[in-house]
Amino acid sequence: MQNRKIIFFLLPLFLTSCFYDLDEVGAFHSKYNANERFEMSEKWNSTHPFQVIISSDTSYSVLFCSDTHIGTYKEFGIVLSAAKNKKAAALVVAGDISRGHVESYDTLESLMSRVDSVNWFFTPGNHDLYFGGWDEYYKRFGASSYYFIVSTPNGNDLFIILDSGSGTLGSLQLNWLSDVLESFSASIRHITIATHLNFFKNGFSLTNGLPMEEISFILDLCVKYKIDYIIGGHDHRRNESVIGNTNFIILDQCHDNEKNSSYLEVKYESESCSHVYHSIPE
Amino acid sequence: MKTIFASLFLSVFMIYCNNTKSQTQIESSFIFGQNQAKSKDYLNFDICPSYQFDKWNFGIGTELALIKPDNSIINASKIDVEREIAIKNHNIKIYGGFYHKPFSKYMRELDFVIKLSTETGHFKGTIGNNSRIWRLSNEAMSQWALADSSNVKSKKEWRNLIYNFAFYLKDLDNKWNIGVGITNYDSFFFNHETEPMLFSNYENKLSEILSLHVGLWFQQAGFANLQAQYYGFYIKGGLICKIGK
Repeated sequence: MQNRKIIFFLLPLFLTSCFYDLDEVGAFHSKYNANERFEMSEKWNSTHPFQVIISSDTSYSVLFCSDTHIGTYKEFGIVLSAAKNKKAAALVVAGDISRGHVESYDTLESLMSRVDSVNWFFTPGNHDLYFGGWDEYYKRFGASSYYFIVSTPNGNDLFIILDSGSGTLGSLQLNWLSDVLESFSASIRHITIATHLNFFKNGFSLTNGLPMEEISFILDLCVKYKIDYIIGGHDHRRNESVIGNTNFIILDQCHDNEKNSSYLEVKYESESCSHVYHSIPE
Repeated sequence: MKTIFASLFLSVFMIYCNNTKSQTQIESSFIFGQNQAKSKDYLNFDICPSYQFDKWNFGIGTELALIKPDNSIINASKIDVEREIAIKNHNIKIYGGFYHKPFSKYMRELDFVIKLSTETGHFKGTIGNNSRIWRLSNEAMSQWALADSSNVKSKKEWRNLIYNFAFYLKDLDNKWNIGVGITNYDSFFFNHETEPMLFSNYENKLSEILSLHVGLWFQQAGFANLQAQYYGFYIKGGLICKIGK
């Protein structure tokens, strides 16, 4: 009987250890919490001012993808080529870019070092933080909470990148988000927020979104500041919702081992924005 | 304010119309806590009068934000009904409730809740569904007609599993008891099913009409598929007053 109990407790440990990408400890504990990562991001931001991308045209495109889970990067490579060929103003990857292992980050860093004509922006997802991944992320890519601006002849557009990799945005990041929106709202044409976790769920689900109170907090900001897009990933399944002026989009994955991959192209114009999905391969 | 007056009026009315087949209950709690969305301490006060007649229970309730309100002092209000049925000598309660939460000047949250509860020996269990609607407030729509140019005034989440499982040290009819459990909802809020909270409870029947309850809730930001971290906690304590038989 005693032996059976020991086997009962050891069997799940043995089975989970068979999954290379499963960080059992990480499911219950993170080395850095959201507030600590935000403070490190702020430190990084203090020496790396926000980027301004100049667009000579009043309309332009930004590409968004998520959940690339590098490892392999055949599909992500297609998105990088598309960003280059379409002359997109920027490419935003909304988390789960890597698998958290050092070798995943090595591959990602090596890949991005060869991409010279695309303005790319990352934010970590839960997988990027597994296996102590934040240390690797921060060392190679810096801040996970920041913003950049695309400047056009008839106005500037604000893009805010948020870190939701550990299930919450955290109190410091929420306050920072309010301050950024307040300071830019009067002078900005369009506002887009990208983060890994999503807001709304579609039926019963086993994947997490943000905590309810944080969703409420951001919904308030969406209406108050007329945010155009909130873009996330994590679910690996496309979903769209609209409330008032704001489009809430969950991206498909962009992962070699899964079907129905796609990336999103958002077209920003003087008075409006629109978006279209591109299947991979197109 | 209307909700507060309605709660008080109903409380007095229920006591007044009390008879041998009925029971009036007033449940009140203070909730003190802290979380990532409310980094400074918050303090809420819940008052929920209900009137039990035969197998039926009718209730209303409101939650007041005494410190750090989101929008107004009234955090949430509810109206609910519960019916007790027996299946093979086993009692099950069927609950239906409607919740209104004006959490922002511009947005409202509405919740429609259906759940089944049962208890036996040392165990209490509840399972159900919460349908949530977020909608723009009238003020948002009147202030920014263009904000609703897409003509989408609300977002609906029809299916959200709610659950509450608790195990108690003593038999449930004991004078005092200590319990631990897991749930994704409490009095006036309903998390997604993937946001469980762990809680521990102490209950004591002080007299025939008065019971004390104190509990500690631990909130985690997500679960299992995330690099999940601590989200917050709250302590909840109060009295339940039962009048009538």
